[in-house]
Amino acid sequence: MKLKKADIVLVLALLLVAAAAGIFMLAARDAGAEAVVVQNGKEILRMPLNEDTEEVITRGEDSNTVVIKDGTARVTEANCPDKVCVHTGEIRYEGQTIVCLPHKLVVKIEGGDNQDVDAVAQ
Amino acid sequence: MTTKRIARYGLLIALALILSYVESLLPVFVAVPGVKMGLPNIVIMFALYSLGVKDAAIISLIRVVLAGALFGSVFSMLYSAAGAVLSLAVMAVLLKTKRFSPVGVSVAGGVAHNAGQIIVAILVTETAQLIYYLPVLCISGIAAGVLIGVVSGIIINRLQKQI
Repeated sequence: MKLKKADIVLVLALLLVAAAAGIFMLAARDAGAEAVVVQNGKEILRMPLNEDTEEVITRGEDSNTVVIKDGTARVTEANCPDKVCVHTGEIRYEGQTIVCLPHKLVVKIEGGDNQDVDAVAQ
Repeated sequence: MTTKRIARYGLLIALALILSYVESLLPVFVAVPGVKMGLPNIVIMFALYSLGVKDAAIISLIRVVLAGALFGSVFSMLYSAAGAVLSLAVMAVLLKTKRFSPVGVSVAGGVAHNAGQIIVAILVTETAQLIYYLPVLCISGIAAGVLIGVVSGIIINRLQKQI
């Protein structure tokens, strides 16, 4: 049995469609509206993703710098021993988190376009 | 209906059912529902090539109903039926163009089968987000289709004169 040219064209075309659809779907994920900073189980700060800001979160000796820039949140500096939070990099999609275990700090993204009326209506 | 035709249907439906059963035993190793080999499609491909579209459709639908009743549920029957109908329609069209080998026909059938299942799943659960499974199911359909196409091609060549 021999493959025909049409077979190869068909398989390549389908692969291309699958790849294009996959990339499109990744790109079209809901971006979140707010970065919520939770420390020791308590919500301490909400930062809207649509304005560039910088906050230093301190608790005793512990300090983490949370930066909002171009719709993404990241921890740029921290005095924790492992720096996992800094290495996590940027987050922007609903449900993504940055965790700093030594400081009991979590930054999570909440509220996509569909939930946050203010982000749409302002 | 001649005796030969009855015997042929019986043989092929039994074979397709056994392959459905074997497939239901294979472990699911991907987190996405609907990823599977499509073993029964070997029988459908053979019926399509050596008996024709009508016979392949009859065998396929009887297989879906019996396999659903034996190894699945009413819902799995509905999913399979949607996949089977769409897949057979696409395969019949591609076969008719005479430009594809069994591999191409089977790949198109595999992808169409998965697409049909997603469409029904979206309608039944009213969850449009299931479309996110499409890229994965498209690729798994291609992979399974190539495999089934190669096997079917060999079988069709060797058995065409015997049945």
